[in-house]
Formats: sequence, C-alpha cells, structure tokens
Amino acid sequence: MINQISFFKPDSVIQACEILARENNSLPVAGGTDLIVKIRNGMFPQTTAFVDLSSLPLRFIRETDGQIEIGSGCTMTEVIENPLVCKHFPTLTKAASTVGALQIRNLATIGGNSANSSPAGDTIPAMFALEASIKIRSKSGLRTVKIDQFFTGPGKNVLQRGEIIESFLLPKRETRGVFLKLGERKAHAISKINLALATWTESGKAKFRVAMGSVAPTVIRAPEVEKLLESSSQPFSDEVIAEAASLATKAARPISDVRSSQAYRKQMAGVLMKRAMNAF
Amino acid sequence: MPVVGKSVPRKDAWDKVQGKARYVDDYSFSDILYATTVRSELAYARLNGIDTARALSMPGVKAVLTHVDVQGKNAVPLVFEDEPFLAQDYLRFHGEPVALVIAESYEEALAAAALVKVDAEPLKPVLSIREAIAENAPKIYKDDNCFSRYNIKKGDAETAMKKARHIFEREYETPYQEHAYLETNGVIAVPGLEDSMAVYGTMQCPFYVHDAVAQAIGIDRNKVRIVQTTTGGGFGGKEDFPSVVAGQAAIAAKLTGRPVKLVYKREEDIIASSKRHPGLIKMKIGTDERGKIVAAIIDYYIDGGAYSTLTPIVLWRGTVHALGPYECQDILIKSYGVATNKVPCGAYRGFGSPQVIFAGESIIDEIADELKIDPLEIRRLNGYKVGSSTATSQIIDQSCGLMETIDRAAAKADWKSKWQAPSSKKGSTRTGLGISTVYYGVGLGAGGKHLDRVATSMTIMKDGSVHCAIGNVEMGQGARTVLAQIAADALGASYEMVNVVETDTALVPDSGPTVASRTTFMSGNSLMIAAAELRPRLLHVAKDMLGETRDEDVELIDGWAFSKRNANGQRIHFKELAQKLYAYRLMPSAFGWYIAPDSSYDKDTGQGNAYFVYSYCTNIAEVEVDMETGEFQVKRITCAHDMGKAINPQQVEGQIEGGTLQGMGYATMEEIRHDANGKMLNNAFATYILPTTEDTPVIDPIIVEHAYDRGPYGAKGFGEVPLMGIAPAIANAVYNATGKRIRILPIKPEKILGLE
Amino acid sequence: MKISLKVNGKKYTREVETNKNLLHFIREDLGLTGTKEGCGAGECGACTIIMNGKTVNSCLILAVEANGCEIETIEGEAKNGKLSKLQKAFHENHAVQCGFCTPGMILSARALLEKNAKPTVEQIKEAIEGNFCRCTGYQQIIEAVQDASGQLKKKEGLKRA
Repeated sequence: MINQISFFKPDSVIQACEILARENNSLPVAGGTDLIVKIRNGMFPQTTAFVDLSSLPLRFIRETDGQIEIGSGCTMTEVIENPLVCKHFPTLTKAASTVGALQIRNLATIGGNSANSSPAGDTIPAMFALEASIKIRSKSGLRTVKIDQFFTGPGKNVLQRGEIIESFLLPKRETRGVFLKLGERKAHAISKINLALATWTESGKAKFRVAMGSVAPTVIRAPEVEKLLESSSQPFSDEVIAEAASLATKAARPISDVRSSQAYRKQMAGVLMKRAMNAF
Repeated sequence: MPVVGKSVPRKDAWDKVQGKARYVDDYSFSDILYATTVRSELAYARLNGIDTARALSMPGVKAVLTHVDVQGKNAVPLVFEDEPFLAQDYLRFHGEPVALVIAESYEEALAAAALVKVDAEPLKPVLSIREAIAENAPKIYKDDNCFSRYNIKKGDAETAMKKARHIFEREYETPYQEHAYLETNGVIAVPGLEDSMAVYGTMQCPFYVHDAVAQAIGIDRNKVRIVQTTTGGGFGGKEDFPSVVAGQAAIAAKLTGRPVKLVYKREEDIIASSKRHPGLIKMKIGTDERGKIVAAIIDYYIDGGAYSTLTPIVLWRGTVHALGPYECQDILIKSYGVATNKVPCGAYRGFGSPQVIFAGESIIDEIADELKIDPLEIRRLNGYKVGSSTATSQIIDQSCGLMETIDRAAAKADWKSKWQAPSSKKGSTRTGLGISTVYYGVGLGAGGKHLDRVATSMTIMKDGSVHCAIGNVEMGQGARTVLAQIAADALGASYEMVNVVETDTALVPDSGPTVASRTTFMSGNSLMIAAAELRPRLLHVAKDMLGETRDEDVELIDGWAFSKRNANGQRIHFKELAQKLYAYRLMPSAFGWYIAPDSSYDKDTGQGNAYFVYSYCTNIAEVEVDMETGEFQVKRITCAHDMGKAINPQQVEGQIEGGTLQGMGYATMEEIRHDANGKMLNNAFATYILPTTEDTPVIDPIIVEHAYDRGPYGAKGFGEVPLMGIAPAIANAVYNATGKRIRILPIKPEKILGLE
Repeated sequence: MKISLKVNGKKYTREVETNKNLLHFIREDLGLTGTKEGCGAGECGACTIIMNGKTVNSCLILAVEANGCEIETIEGEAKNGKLSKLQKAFHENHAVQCGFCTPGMILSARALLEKNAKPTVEQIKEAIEGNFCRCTGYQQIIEAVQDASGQLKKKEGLKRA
C-alpha cells in the first residue's frame, strides 16, 4: 500500500486532541460525509493519520446550568429525534432534517457541519439564530467561542491544529422558529440560500434572531432585521414584513456560482424572510 | 396461455433483487491488472510530449501507455474515425484521455497517474455553437467547424412563408444532458491464446466494441470476442463510448499479456463520456388564419464537441423530426453538426430529437397562444393522421395513433375543464397545464439502414428448454423478458422455458447497435423467423405422437401440443416433443436474420421514406409554480403512447415512467457547465443534479395500440419516446401558469423570475 | 490494521488498509459484490448498507471505522434461499430495471419498514430520497414498497391513486 496511513480511535477527547496536535498531517474524522469526499478528490494527499472521533463521549444532548449542550458527535438523525431539541429549538430540528438524505443524516454530525464551515451548511444558520457558543477542546484546555466568531471564510474557522469541537451550548429557552431553504431540487440538496429565524421571550420582550447561509463567505446574521422585529409590535403589519424582507435582501451579499445567481439569492433573502415571518 | 400482452415478471429481476447480478466491476480474473486514465487538463492544446518516466518508476506500475503504444490504428471506428483512442498531436477537450497507467492495484495506478507529465501548449478553444459558427471563428475542424449538414426541402417554403397569414420566429436552446446510468463505464480485457482478445463489459453495442477492439490492437475479428456483462443502464450513453474504453483496455492487455480492468469513477465518466448534444434551434413557422401550418423554415445546430463520434447520424434524426408530427406542404430544414472543444456528444435517448421537439412543441404552443387557440386543438388541426405526408413526403399509411393519444391523454388529465389561458391566472401560487405531441421514427431509418439488420440463434435443448442468443442487448430496459415472451408465443413454448441470454459476439453475427428503440421490433422479428423455422418440425413430431396424419391438424401453445379436433384430449409436453425432435434427428436450431423494412432518402432534398414506421405520444404536464421563488413542482404528467402493441404492459409502463422522469430532469435541473476556458465544472453527482423521489410527479401512463402489420404481434418500438416531449410539456405548463416563456433549458426558478 | 465485524450475522476478521472505504472492503475483501458503487461520494445511495441498524452510504465510511460494527447487506436479505417480502414485491411490481440501484434501494426500504410497518407514500419517498434510480422514475419502486407493506391495491398503484 502506498502512503501507509495510521488510524487512531481515541476514547477520550484529550487523547484525541493530543494525537491531532502531535500528528502534523492528521485528519479528524467525525461523520466523514464531507471529509471522505474531499479525500477522494485528492484534497489531502499528505495525510498520515486518521483520528476517528466516533468513540469520544460526545454523543449527548443534555441540560447544564441554563443551557442545553449538544455534543459535537451527535448525528443529524440523533439531533432530529431528540425531544429536548425539538421542544426548545424547532429551528435546529428543521435545519438538521434538511441536510442531505437519510443515509447522510445517519452519519453526518452536528460538529462536523460547523467544522466543515461551508457557507451553505444547513445547521449553521440555526446555531446562529439560537445564539449558540462552541466549546473547543485542546490538550491545553477549553475555550468557548460564540458561533458568530467561529467562522472566518468559506471552509475556514478559528480551530487550531489539535483542537476539536466538543459541543454546542445553546441558551435554554423555549424558542419558536423556522428554517427555510431553497435548493436545486426538492430534497438531498445543497442550499442555494437558507434562512433561520428563532424567537423567544426575554423579560417580557420578544427577541428575534435571523441568520442566512449561502449569501456571504460565511453564514451571516441580519441584525437590522432583528432590531426591526424586536421594535415592532406583533402581529407584524404588512409594512413591517416588507421592511424586514427588504433589510434581509440588503444584508445578503452573495455571489453567482454553479448553484445559483447573485440576483436570485439576493431577492430570495427577502422572500425567505417574509415567509419565515408568516410561518408562525 | 400465450404471454404476449401479459405483464410477466422480468427474467433478470430474481438475481437483481438479491444482489447476485454481476456487473463488470463484480468480476475479477487471476493475475489481473488495473488501469486508470491520465486526462487533458486543457480544452484545446498542441500536445508536445508526454513524460511517463516518474510514473513508470512507481511501485506496482507495469506500463504507461500513450498513443505510440497503440498496436493497431489509433482511431475509434465510428462514422468518421476522427477520435483517437489516446490523444495524439492535439488535446481537444478537457478530460480527453492522454495516457493509461497500468498497475498491480487501482490505487497504485492512480498514484502514478498523478506523476505523468503532459507537455502541452494551450490554444484558444471554441466553446459554443455560436462561437463555432461565427464568421471569424478559429477553425478547429476542417474549414468550417462543421462535422456534417443536412437539408430537407419539401415544396417551396420561402414562397409559402410570404403567403402565410401569420409568421412566428423564435430561437430555442438546449443544454448537454448526462446519461447518469447508475453503473459507470467499464471493461475487462482478457488476452487469450493465439493472440485472441476477449472483452467483458457494460455496453449497448457489443458489435461496435468488436470493431473497436479489432482496430485498436490490429487483429482479425475472429480473434476478438465481446461479452456483455449485466449492464447498469445505458440510455444511449453506452452506444459509442464503450468502444473507447474497450479499445484502450485491449491495448493495455495486449501489451502486458495480462487481463486489464478499466472501470471509471463517476467523475471521469461524466467528464469523458458522450452526452446529449446541446442544441440551438431557429424556428420560423407560417400559418393561415386558423393556425394551420403552411410553411416552416428551421435551422438546427447541434454541438458535437471535440470529435464527430455519432454526430452525423444524431443530426440526421433530428433533422427529419424537426417540425414535429405536423402536416405542412412547404418545408425547408437546414441542420449543422458543429465542432467545439468540449466533451464529444453521442447518442442519448431520443438521439437529436428532444432538442428540436422542445423547439417545435414550444413554438406551436406560442402560436396557439397568440392566435388564441386551445393548444390541444392546434395539434388536432395539424397533427398526423393516416394519410398524412411527413416532412420527407412519406405518406403515413398505417399505425398512426397520434389523435387517439391526444384524446386519451386529454380525457385522463381532464384538460377540458382544467385548462385556462395564462391571462386568467392570479395569485402567488399558480397552476398550469402544458401539452406536447411527439412522433418518432423507429429503427435506424434511411440514415443508418445498412446497419438495420439483426440476428438470432434459437435452439431447442433436449429437455425442451429453449436457448436464444440475440444481437441486441439487455441494459435494464427489459429486452430479455419481452423477447422471451415473443419467442415463447411464436414457438409455442412456455415463457418459463425460454431463456434469452446476454449478448456475446461469438454467438451471433453483427446485428447493429441496441439503439433507436429497435430491439423489440428487430430482434422480435428475427426470433419470429427462427421460431417459424422450428415450429413446423415440432408440429411434425407432435403429429406422430398424437396419432394425427397432417401437421396442420396439430396445435402447439404454451408448451403443450394437442389435436385441433380434440383440444381437451391428449396433450404432449414440450419436453417430450424436444426429446422426439432429437430422436428424429431434426435440426433443433434455427437462425433468424431480419432486415428492416425499406427506407429511403434523397441526399439533396432529404425526401423519402425516412423510417419504416413511427411511434406517437402525447404528454400533458401539470405544474404548480411559486411566483415568489420561481420554484415549481411538476404535479402530474399524463403520457399516452402508441407503441403498436404492448408486449409486456408493466414494462411499457416502466419505460414510460422512467423516460418521463429523465425528461423531467432534462427540463428542469440537468445541465453540464464549463468555465470560460472550457473546463467542465460539474462532473459529479453533487453538482450534476438528478431528480430524486421528492421531485417526481405522479406519472400516469396510458397505452394506445395501433398495430403495425410488420411488427412482432403488432409492436413498433418506443423506449426513447417517453423522454422526448417532456421538456416542452413542462415549459408550456410553466408558461400557462406564469405567462413566462422559457426558451432555454433547463427551466429554473432563476429564469422564471428573470434573475439569472 | 486488523478489524473484526459482523456482516449478515457472520463474523469476519481481516487486515485492511486504513484508507480503504467500507464499500470497497465489503466488495473486494469480503467478496460481497451486491453492494454497488455508483458515485463514490455519498450522493447516489447505490452503496447503501445497514450499519448498527441505520442506513448509511458505505462509500463514506472508512473500513477501519466499522471495526466492531454489525452490518447488513443485500446478501443477507433473502433467508435460506427464500426471497424476503420486499424482494418479492420488487420482483413482482417491476421495480427493477437495470438493477444497479436495487440492492441499496431494498436496504433503504427495509430500514423504513422495520421502523414503520405501514408507511405513507410520502414516508416512502423520504426514506428513499437518497437512492437514485435512473431507469424507473421511482413509481414502480414506491409501489413495490407499498405492496411489501400490504398497502397496494392490486392493479392500482400510484398513478390511479
């Protein structure tokens, strides 16, 4: 065999971090649904080791001091089927259920979706809208990064060699919300554009968070829309809805690519915004 | 009971549901080597040299082949023979094979392939039909970038156009379509004794491959044997291209003296294999005040890509079908197959027709709209009936079910009560109905009639089982089943006792390709010929066994012989007949050789009997369009097809449903894209978008049977037809819903909203 | 690296290269060629197997990751030479044309029926949305799954629904 590649299957997170730090050209393998395709396409010719993360104790969804913590190793299917997530974060349930097809959702992990950092990753806008933080572990310790500080570009993020996403921390709230997506077909599609909206009540006031994918180098929030919604009374008037749609369109700064055009994406940001507001 | 007309289960399904069917990659041979291909990174370049030294030094590598290693002639034997097995002098498209690396393992071959250095000097590529036909276009093929051209001249179209009450002029464009058969191309070439070569592989046309292997390695055809393995879909994509793969593998096998497996990864299959030609169609139609077509002038261009492969014949079929199934006395059609620096195009279900059908069925809808005629009525007014004269002045003398397909599809789709003009549509979700009518010449027609013959060998075994070797292949469409049904009834055997085996060039002579919806008709007829020779022998034997005096007093049906005058009396099983046949020393085998009914074609005017018979269909599509996102759902497609006779109705429905969905993919999502330098951008299933279950509409197949007197049990052929008219039916439905006319496929939300 | 896993109830122990995917391991090292490679990139579903009770694309998994797993492939579907209900239904409803998608399709359908004995058409469509078929237009496949779950009124099918 050419290029004998080592295989590690650590059962503790620290151990995994140590191996990843030590082995210069090692690749962490979570669900592998994006990674294996990239390897097949020759993107990592120098790989010397695979570090299989599937035995790490990261397949949990639990409550911890006012937060719900989702282990990065949970598959999309596990997230979708989890009653705690479904009850508190329907936006995330919906987003996870639109990822790939069933066989992909049975493998792909919630951590991998963020670590892969595609601007089209479907669970990412939901995490933005739910104000998630990411717990990042390395052998030297733990750091927590707010989701909107995590991504630095298409396929890029703040993870350093030897660091892995341990979990997502979501403030425990009863949120309502929607996730909307347009793809090149009705299912098993990569988003041309997606939009997540979450809302909850905080100190008697309605809070709104809106995030969009595939409209910028990373998933973005639409703070102007959020401000507008939070300062408007419900049910929203047609004028507010129209204004929110227009602000969403303004916030979007997409490109044209193989999946869609800049003009379409920009206009759809507004349409999805409007639909999200009409959805509840 | 006779089985023709019955939905008996497929012969091959038993193994297929268990995963036992063996496709080419499921085979291995001892001592096998693996090949992979080094491909051009450039769309157009002068090839200065290929440095194979580093690759050769890699572990496991046995050989690195380039054009200098081709033992025979470095040209794939298709129409013009302009495509090399391995690039020589020039690189003409991104993905063109330049070298083959042969190694002990596939991984080793792959690793070494990355080290082959291709020294090439980039040239400016020609990347579209419009670029190729521009006056000062760089010349990449002869002096006009044109592989071939045809004319059809019927009457005097120019004069008739001047007299027309209304004139409609429109342009339409269609994209590449990738076959996306689930099994990629692949072969195993196995060198044998006395310099022979056997090739096993996935393919539609073993006899093309036979020619290619003989030519590639320069040996006689009687030393070459091609065995088709269970084939995971073809749709035209395995007509011409397996010749390339098999030729290459044979070159490698001959050179190394060992079996060589060359099976493609999906990405290289898409980048290198032939596709549906992109089309540009300029339609000018004149009508009278009622919408009756009085003149048609059509210019039809197809993008052949870098090599001609099958472009000349694809173009001919498209030219003949350019106006659609409509009567018109004055027609001028000019067609051009142009060269570009992109992947070569070849056969794909419909073969040059879906492009012009999209144009023709769109413009007739546009005419109906402008003249305020029901789109269904304009088709009734102009459509072919028995007695109509085609664009080539052929009189349709029988088996023309077009009007019945219109009536039955319309009734089933509830056209009368559902169809409303687009102007009446309101709201953010709008529904629309669209129709298309299609005719299709069965078989190779006058353009390929020298190939339109097919062989069968039929043998009654001693145990009464019947072995049939045929010259057409099973590629998933169900040929082995349908042909067994025909053979069983023609012979008087039971369906269970008839086995039609996969094609092997050692069993029957060159029977032409498995294309053009010709298999049921051609191979069916050749089986009938063989059966007609064997059956009298069986009757003769049965007569003695039943104590009758004359052969004609005996009947033989479904595996049992009995006296006609005593149908409920003694019955003799086929097995006993077979034993007696051998005891009588009567020849238990027969050979069927069927030649297609005549067709003709005048080189200057294109006039003549282009095809011996035509199949017909009407499609009605129902769509629901979201006016804000431009997204739409095709809700239902009703498809009425006249195929003469449905030998196996369930399989007919399967063909209709599968073809319709491929047509829907073509209409709504499939296209190959290239960048400004001619690099293909979407050679993977993540980016070449195919319909999933969730995209699939309800498909409602309707069988219409207008028997053809020369067909086996009245059957014509129709495997391609279900795909052909789907795109315009959907485009017309989208127009009906939205008022937005899409003239460039695929129909995408971006186009509906004008936000491309 | 040495791995042990159970395939169709039988235990296998094999030495395998770390960069070999599970699909190739099953096909080449175990000789179970019923599982197919259609794209090698997790799009087409031809390589679908059931791993620890869930359908997955075996082309997206390293063989070494499957160490200790329980796997079902198409070869395990028929029991003692008798076709399963699903296989019979595929056979009878002409849900098979070229057959290349069939093994993966049957495993996806089986995973569905194990969870949901009477799925609706929508649920069937969702369960097999990751299995491409280029031949059938899916309709006869969906009918076969309905039939296998005792829900197909004979000679009716989807189009007449």
